[in-house]
Amino acid sequence: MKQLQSFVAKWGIEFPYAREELIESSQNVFLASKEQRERLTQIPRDIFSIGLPLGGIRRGQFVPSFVLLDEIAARDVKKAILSEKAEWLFICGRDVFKEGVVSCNAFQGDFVIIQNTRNECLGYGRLENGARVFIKNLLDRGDFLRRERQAGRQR
Amino acid sequence: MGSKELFFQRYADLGESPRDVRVHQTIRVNTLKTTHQLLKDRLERNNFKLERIPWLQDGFAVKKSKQSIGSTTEYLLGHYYTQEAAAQLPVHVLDPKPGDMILDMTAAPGGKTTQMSQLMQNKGTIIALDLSNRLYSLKNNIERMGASNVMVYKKDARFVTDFKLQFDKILLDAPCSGNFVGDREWFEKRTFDDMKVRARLQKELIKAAAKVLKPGGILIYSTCSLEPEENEEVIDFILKKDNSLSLALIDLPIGDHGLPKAFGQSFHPDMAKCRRLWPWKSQTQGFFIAKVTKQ
Ligand SMILES: C[S@@+](CC[C@H](N)C(=O)[O-])C[C@H]1O[C@@H](n2cnc3c(N)ncnc32)[C@H](O)[C@@H]1O
Repeated sequence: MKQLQSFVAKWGIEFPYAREELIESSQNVFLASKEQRERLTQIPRDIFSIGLPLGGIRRGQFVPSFVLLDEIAARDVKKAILSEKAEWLFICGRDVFKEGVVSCNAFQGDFVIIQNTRNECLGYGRLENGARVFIKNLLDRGDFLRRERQAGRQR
Repeated sequence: MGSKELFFQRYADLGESPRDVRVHQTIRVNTLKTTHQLLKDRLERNNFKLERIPWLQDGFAVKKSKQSIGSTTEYLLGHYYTQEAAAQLPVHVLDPKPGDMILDMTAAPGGKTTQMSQLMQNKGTIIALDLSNRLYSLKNNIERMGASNVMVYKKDARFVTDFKLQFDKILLDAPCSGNFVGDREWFEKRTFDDMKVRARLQKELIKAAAKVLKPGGILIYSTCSLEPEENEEVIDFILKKDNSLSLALIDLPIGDHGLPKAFGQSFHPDMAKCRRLWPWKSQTQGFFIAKVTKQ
C-alpha cells in the first residue's frame, strides 16, 4: 500500500483512490467496488484477485498495473508521445531514442507516461536525455507477453 | 491401428464422417474498450483481414495476417481476446446480464470470465475459481481486458459448497481431454483411461455445481471434448442423481443435437436439447454445451 502511494506521489498528483476501495492480498493491491467488498466479508477466505489490480511487489520492487498507469495518464502529468515505429520498439522492451519521440513535455530525471499518437498509454519511463537513450523504459505493455512466457515456463 | 484411426472410428460409430480440419484464428472484440468497427479498421490498416462470424456476438475470424494476432498493440491494450469461435458459445447460452451473480467454476485463463464481464458491462459479480498456476494468466487477462467485476479464489471447485453461496447462473467449462483440432499431437497424447479420469472429475464438479445452483437457476456445462463419456454421460449422470434438474433447449444456428445414445448406452431422452459441434461440420474446434435448469 505504501509503495502504491509513493509510486503515485512520484507523478505529483493527488492519490486517486479512497482507502476503503483498496484491498491488499499477497503483495498486490486491488481496486474493489463496494459490492465486492461486501461479498468479501461473506466469503472468509484468501482472495487471489478482486476487481482491478493496481500493482504489486515483484522482485522486491513495486510494479504498477496498466490500470494504474491509465489512471495516471488521464491526469496532467509528464508525457512523451512516440512515433509508430518507436511505439513498437518500446513495447518490445527497448528504451526510446530521441528520433522516436513526436513530443515530450518532461525534463531530465522526470518520470514520463509513454503514449502512442492515439494517446493510448503504452507504459512509463524516465527521461535520461543521454547521448543515445532519451527515455529509459521502466515498464511497457509487452510485459503481458513476458508474464505469460514466464508463467508458461513455470507450468 | 494408430490412435487417430481409433478415435476417428469412434466418431464414425457415432454416425459421423470425421476428417482433419484447419480452422481460422478467431478473436472476440472487447466491447468494454472498443467497438467492432474501430478494431476492424485498426487491424486492417495493419494488414490483417477480419471477417465477422455471423453466429457470434463479438467474434471475428482472422482471414489474413502478417504478424501474430497475439502480439499487436491492440491486443496488449485489451481490445480483443484470441478466443476460438466455438469457445465463445457457452457464455452466449448462459446469457449473463448486468447485475447478475455468476459462478465460473473452472475459470483460468479467463476467456469466458472476461467475456461474461463484457456482457455484464462490468456490473454484478463473477466468482471465479481455479486451482492451477493458470490463475496468474487469469489475473493478467482481467487487467488487460479491464474486467473489473471478478473475484478470483484459488479453490478446488468440487468443494464450492464451502462458500455457502447459491448462484442464479453457473458456468462449468470443465477440464477435459480436448480435441484434435489445431493439435497435431493430440491423438498420441490421449488414451481412453485418460478420458475416464477426466469424466470422474467432471462428475464431481457437476455434482458440486448442482448443489450451489438456485432453484430457477441455469447451469451451463461445456467441454471442448468430442467424447460422449465427458459430455452426454456426465449430463445423464447428474440428471439421474438430482431430479430437480432438467435440460433446456439450446437454440443456436450452429452445431448438432446431443447424442441420444453412444456405444450401446442410451442417455436421458432430452439429450437432444444439448449442442455438439463436430469440427468437420462446423469448421471450429469440437465443443459440447448443455443447459441445465433447476426447478
Ligand atoms: C477448460 S479449462 C477452462 C478454460 C476457461 N473457462 C476459459 O474460458 O479460459 C479448465 C480449467 O479447469 C481447471 N480445473 C481443473 N480441476 C479443477 C478443480 N477441481 N477446481 C477448479 N478448477 C479446476 C484447470 O486448471 C483449467 O484451468
